[in-house]
Amino acid sequence: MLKKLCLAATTCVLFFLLLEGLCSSLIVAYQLWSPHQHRTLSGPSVQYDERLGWVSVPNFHESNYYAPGIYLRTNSQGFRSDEEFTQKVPDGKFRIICSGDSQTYGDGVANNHTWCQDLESIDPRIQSINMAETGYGADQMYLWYKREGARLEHSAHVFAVVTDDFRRMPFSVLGGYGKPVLKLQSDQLVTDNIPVPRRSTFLHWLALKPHPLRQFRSLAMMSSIVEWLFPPRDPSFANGPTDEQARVIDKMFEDLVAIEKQQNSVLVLLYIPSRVSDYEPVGASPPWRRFVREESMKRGFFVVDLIDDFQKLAVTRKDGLFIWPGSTQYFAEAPGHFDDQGHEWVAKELYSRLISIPQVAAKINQRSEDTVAGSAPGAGRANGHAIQN
Amino acid sequence: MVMQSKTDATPVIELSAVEPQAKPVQPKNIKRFILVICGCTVSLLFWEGLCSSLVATYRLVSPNEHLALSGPSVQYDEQLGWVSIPNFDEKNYYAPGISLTTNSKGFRASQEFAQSVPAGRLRVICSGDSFTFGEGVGNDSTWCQLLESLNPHLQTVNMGESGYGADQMYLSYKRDGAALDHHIHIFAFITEDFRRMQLSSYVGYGKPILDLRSGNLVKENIPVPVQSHVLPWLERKRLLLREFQSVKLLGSLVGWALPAHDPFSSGPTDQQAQVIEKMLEDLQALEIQRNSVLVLVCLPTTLHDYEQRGPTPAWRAWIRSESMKRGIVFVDLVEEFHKLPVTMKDGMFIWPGSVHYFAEAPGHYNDEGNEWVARELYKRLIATPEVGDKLTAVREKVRSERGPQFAMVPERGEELDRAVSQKGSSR
Repeated sequence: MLKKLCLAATTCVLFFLLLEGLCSSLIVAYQLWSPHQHRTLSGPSVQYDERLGWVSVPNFHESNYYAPGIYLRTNSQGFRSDEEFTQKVPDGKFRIICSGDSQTYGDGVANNHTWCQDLESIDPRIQSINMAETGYGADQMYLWYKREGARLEHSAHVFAVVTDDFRRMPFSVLGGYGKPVLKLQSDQLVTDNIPVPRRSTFLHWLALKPHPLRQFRSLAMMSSIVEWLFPPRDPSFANGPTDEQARVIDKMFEDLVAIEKQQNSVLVLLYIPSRVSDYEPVGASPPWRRFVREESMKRGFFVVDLIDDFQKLAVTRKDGLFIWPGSTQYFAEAPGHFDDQGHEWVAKELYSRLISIPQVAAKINQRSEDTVAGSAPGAGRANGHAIQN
Repeated sequence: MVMQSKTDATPVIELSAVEPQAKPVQPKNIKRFILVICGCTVSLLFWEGLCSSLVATYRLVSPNEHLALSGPSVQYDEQLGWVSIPNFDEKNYYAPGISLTTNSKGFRASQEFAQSVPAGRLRVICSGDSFTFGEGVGNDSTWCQLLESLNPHLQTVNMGESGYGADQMYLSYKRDGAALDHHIHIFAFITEDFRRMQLSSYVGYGKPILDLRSGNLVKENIPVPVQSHVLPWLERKRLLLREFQSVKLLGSLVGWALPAHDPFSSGPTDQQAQVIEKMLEDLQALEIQRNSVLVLVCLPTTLHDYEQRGPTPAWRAWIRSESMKRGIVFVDLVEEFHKLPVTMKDGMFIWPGSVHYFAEAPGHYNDEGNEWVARELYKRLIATPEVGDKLTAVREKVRSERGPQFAMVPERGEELDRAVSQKGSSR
């Protein structure tokens, strides 16, 4: 009798475990194949570029791209914008170019809620150009700016980075796309791995799937155990740049400073907090932030480091700045990026720092005075016009 | 096989001899192959099931997953079911640095409140559930407390309590709130608070029930039966059972296949309506006695696709007509909330997986959510003549006491008040 009871109990447990495994697998399969779970780098808004790896598709417009009513729109230059930009700055405007990665691009939020665009709402004298691209490393941001941004007149260039943008620099492949690599040859910056090799659509898909695969609890648990037993060590990155990396980045900043000087523009390096690196004052960020500060002293550009301020916020406030898995925004890649409140916070903090830079304050005021003194009604209107549907 | 020819020494290769013979696939091999595939699949499913069960069990028994109603901040109360423990103070209650403090009366506050209102202040009592209590945020970040930072003339008393139904909010106010002098009583509810009114126990605690007898409100289930500690624990665990993927999936499938008709979705039944009407009538009478303004506030939640579906529309419509009938101020923040983009709405709530480790916090307002409620509510309050007049009177009184030299100096919050009243008059 006892034997029968034990057998029945064991059968029940085994059956339950099998059922639990089946249900778990079905849920993961649904999440993996759900049409809503498309991601930016494999989504329809991105295309191959032989010099940069990938760029946004020009004139892309989808009203419900990230969530119902949360749109993504690019202009004919492929910038995330509702308007076109001419080479000249409109009268009375202070043009800021924002270079960056997905945190600047605004993954998960609408065009009019990115921090770059929020700057315009804070101060209507500003015209901001969002030249960011999802997944870019600092090298790609620099190369794209040189190719497209430097041609546009501007008064300030905000080069916005998260620590991970430096990690991406040495990679020749990211998110399933090939990418260029910056190197030094005879003390000159050269772009390696170009034309960037084309990769198949399947590879993009595959490269972007490992994270959702962790939805399998067995994989998540095993990888947690492995990480606990063998904590991932990245000593080279966690200690800041190696000598070679430092030389490449130094040269990149040198070149950027030279371009801005030519443009009579102000270079501002914006250090943005991320959920991955900056919730706690540990991790890879501190040595990299130190390095960037030293670079700014050496090369004479401004640094706006928002991480100290971010770390002073209460955890409830910090949490509220990011998109979390499970929220209504169904775009799979969005969690971890800033939500509307996060972008607002960055914009407000950045703006207050920007206007405390004498050169920027003087330029903004100069622009407004010029307009008041001599502008004819409607002057410069052609320089910034809305994209027609 | 190589063979030597009789006429020629050249070796002749007999092709047929070296060609491998195409063996017919044995049904036995197919069977074995299918068996191996099935075995692997079953093993993988079994392995996934084992891991999933371990993860779910860990979450079920994790000590960090304590909930407010079974947590150390709540105790049994024979009239209300449960109340916050007086003088409770834990600095890292919800998350590191996110405190929960109650005063000697068990209100969520770091200060004590005397019966009379301090000079130059307008006292606001906030009745409510966990959304008013501020589940998951610090004492200073609840919307009730934030009203004070919008206008320093306000003194707010947070009488919210996690898990309360509208009946408990009313009874708690009658017992502890009405004893305090005040100018405004904000009765803030979510639709679910009316569903809770019908329950005699909630999340493992007993609770009182309001009923009508001979046209009078009576409390039933009093004294509320003391329930063992096991029941709240079991109730909590029952909710956490959905951590098992099988329970989650099967539950969803059953819900989809057999959609249960929820009579609550159609608004109050006649009996419910009579009880709530009587409750509102009593509240209004109390406020008239105290020369105070009663304000009903409907708060938005993440339920039912942000309240677009489900019972909220019917209940809001009923409350609106009821408040119009009685001349009660009704602030419907759900309407305002619907106009926000989804990204803004998402950013107002605590989501599972965020750093806040308090299990019950997800779904409640985060700091931004509480700020939004405070701002929107304040705008509506000062646009209400009854409240606006009271505020102006307090402000004038303070100015006259400070002397004529300060008469023209605007105070904190005054610019917002002016902007709102201008907007109102331009309409």
